[in-house]
Amino acid sequence: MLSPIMGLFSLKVLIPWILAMIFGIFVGATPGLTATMAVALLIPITYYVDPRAAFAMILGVSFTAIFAGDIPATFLRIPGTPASGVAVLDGFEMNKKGKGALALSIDLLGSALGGLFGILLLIFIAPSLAKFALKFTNFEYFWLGVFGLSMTAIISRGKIVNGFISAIIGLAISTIGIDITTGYPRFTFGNTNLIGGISFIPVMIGLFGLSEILKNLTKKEELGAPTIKGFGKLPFLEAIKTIWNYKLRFLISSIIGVFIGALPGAGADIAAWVAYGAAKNTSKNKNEIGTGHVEGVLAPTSANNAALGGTWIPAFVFGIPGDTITAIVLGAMLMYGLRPGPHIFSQSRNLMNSIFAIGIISQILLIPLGFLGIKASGQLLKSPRNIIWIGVVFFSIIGSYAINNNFFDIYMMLLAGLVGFFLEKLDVPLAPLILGLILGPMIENNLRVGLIKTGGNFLPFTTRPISLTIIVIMFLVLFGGNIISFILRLFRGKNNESSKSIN
Amino acid sequence: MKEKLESALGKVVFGIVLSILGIFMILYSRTFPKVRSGGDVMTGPNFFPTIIGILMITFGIYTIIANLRSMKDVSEKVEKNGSSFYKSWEFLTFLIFLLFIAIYPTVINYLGFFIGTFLFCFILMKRLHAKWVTSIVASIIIVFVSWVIFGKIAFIGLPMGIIFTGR
Repeated sequence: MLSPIMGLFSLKVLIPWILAMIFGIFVGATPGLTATMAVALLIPITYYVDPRAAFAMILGVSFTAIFAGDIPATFLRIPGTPASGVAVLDGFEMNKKGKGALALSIDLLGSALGGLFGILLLIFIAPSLAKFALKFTNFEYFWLGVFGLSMTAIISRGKIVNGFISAIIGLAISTIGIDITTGYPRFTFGNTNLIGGISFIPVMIGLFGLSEILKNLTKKEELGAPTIKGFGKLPFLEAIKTIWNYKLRFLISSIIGVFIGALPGAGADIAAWVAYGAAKNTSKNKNEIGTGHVEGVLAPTSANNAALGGTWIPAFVFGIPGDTITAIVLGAMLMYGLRPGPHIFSQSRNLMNSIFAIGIISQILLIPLGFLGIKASGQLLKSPRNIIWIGVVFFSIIGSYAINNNFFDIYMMLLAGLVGFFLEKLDVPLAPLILGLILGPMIENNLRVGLIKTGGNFLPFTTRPISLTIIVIMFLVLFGGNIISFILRLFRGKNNESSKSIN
Repeated sequence: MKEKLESALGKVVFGIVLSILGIFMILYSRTFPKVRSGGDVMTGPNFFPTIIGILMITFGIYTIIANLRSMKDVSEKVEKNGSSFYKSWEFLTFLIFLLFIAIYPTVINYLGFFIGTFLFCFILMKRLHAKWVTSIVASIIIVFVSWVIFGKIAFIGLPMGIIFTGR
């Protein structure tokens, strides 16, 4: 048991591992370069190293990239990766209050602990959770998508109608491109660039990043000021204290992350949104979440890194990739002669033990490396705004181009930036639009395939036990608080009446 | 007061645009092929866009009605004074940014990534009142860093420019 783990500490494993994690920080923090891209870029290099080093590089890079995506999201409102979309809410709001360093310290520790939690669950309950996840059919996935979309009501900060309008716009955009069920191109107007649909990274960069810069251009007097304020020492002790104070929130969010990560097709981005929505609706600080509260930072960050552990559950146990990263890695595993499946734990026990150990050690390594990443970004962003903004604009442009090596994505980013600018002027929140865009295909495809299976009958969507459970949970999350306060009011009213009659 | 009126008017216009988009989605999706199985019409590619179109129209009309009412209230008291954003330095800068991003792909296609990006960075920094030396140095750094990250590390093919390569 110990020898495969001790082997991880040899230089031929440790050096590529740490270099890969530093690479992950760079890629994750660069708008337009995703964790998937980081893994894909590393795969050819892994052919030349020890298999344990290869897995260490892949796992390490994915964990660091997901975390590092939160750095530009917190400092500049530009999500580095899709899973960092939520960090533009409370993380950025905290940064505006001069608490960016605290937000990112919580983010870093939350990511490492969330990731650790995900790996531990992977070790102990992988097979049983994977079996449960496989019971999900189109009906359940449809409700899961609706559940995710219902978070709009929670994240819209009191502008529920505008939030739903935003989500509907996102859903509308998600219908552009080839229809998966029939192969018919919809709303493409003969433009080949639209056939694959709208990539949501340029949309996210434009919607949050470019629109923020356009908005700031209207503040001429602040052009020479530092881009971020109040960035000094990283308050790690305060971050540890905060996580301890909100340990239950951390635990719930991590469980949500692992569970959603274990569902093939769902991923770290959806996990982060659902965990944030759950925090916003069930926390006693729900009114402050969204305005720059630590709980709004901790919930999504622990969920998205925990989800990474979750995605490995169906990948290892059944060979079903939970997201694009695991899909790439499954290919690499076959290359190393590893056949994912229920027998992998007995047939390749040594390598599996090494992989689990890599997962755990990666979380520990993430803390110092992430610390350096935050420090470097913080120092850089002390430069004047007029310089940083131009740099960010060009990184956003080239990052959008980099997705498909296509200029068309730059125009999409520009259009999204304009739409974001005007929607914010009209008090329409932007986050639900991304939610609609991400969840649109999941909702539509599962609804349609489900309806085809049932001959157009919607009733089976509501009668299956897991579907019904999701509906009940959704109902409770959305209306539970109101119902409880209504019952309490009713109860108090009765008590008052009876005490009056006694008097 | 004027801002409030502009905002309400903007929301009414937004409601109209949303409704028109909804109508367009429904009408356009009617041109999608129907899916049949054994003579029965199944849920085809137009099914979901139609639902979204209906929702867009509903929310669009709601937005129009809700804001028409508040627009009436405000317009009675509107005062016409104060400078508008649309006539200011900020608005011109806003337009310059949009224009530069829009023409950037064409420019780097001809001039290449290095010259095109440097020129654009420099001009935009000057527009934002950066000093000459700072603008030149920062532009060179931005070009170099993005070339290393995207071109060298991520292997993204950056345009070298038609005027240099001839294609």
